[in-house]
Amino acid sequence: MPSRIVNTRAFRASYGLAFTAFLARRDEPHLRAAYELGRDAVTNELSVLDLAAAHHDALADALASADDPRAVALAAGDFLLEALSAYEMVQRGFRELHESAALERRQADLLRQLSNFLADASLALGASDSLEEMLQLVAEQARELIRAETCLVRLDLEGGRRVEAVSAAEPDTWSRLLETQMAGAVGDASLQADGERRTLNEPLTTLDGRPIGSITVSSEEFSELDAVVLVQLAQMASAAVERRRLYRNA
Amino acid sequence: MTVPEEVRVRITGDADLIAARAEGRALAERLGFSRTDATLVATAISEIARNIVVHVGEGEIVLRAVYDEPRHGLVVVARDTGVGIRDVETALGHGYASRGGLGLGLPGARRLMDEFEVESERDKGTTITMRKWRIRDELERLRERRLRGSPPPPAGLNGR
Repeated sequence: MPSRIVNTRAFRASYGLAFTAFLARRDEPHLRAAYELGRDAVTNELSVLDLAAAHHDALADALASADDPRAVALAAGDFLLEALSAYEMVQRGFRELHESAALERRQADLLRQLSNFLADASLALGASDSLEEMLQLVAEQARELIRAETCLVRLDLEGGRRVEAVSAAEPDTWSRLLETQMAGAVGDASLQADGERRTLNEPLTTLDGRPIGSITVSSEEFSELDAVVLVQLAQMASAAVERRRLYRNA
Repeated sequence: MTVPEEVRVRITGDADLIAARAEGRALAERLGFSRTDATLVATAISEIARNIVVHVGEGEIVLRAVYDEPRHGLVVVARDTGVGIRDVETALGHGYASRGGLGLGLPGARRLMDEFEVESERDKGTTITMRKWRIRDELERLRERRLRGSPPPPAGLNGR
């Protein structure tokens, strides 16, 4: 605690000196000095209120002996803008963080919902239609979660049958995706560039890691989080398919 | 149509950083940006130039005006031929790894500008392009047309 008081005093002194120097020469080097003071303040966790207090103390001193108080006050404003701009950067960073945290919460909720549904759906002992429906749901949810343009889910069943499900924002983009998918190997977890489009691919596997299909999303760009979400989706879908197979063979 | 103005500042040290700030501020003011926006431009330039000075040692900052009616833009292109940025996403403040940071540096500059692009190649260098825009409203454009001497468009027509 005591060290913070010392820091505040030291800061006020530095601020006062820089402010006075600026009033004498109102040029870019002195504006830059104000900026550096603000930057140091932010880095040293000085409260923006302490900065404001330091500013007004310096301003009050300057006004006391000013020939043109209005000009001094205006100049002081320029100085303060510079000092506060580091705080502005940090504040915008917090806002961004808050938004991405909200997005992550939403994605976690969607994943939980999907997980619950898949757990139920895999128990269905009905016709193979339900498998198509399940994969279709996975494709649609994946596309929504990752905000991709297209999602292709492919499953290679025993007996050589292949089941596919596609979700596409626009109808004709999915055929491009199919072409890309056919060019690459199933189970190849990679990030490729397809002209202007990027694709993310994750394998669907059995419990012992044998590839049985894949899930591919295509979009203009993906984030690190999207790749993480896709891995989770692939694991969930794989587990659901496996459970279904075990129940049907039981 | 106005010819875009361009200012080049070679960045090798502190004095150049200050010069780049000054040029950025001046151009912003010429383009009619507010005092606040001009400060943000100078700040963003400060952070980019600081990166060059600290991490690479040498680079260049080019400032340009863009007249794209009804908006005016200020473009800053910062180039260096350093080792490049290994992980652009994290450097921009997007990835998990950058969560611990304060928000200064490249991510800080990014948030102060309207557009921000990074191109980086290992051992070849880095190019950062950032832009700030200002929309000119009808009143301002009308005033300008009057100053230039051309008659304002007749009432009832969309003055574009």
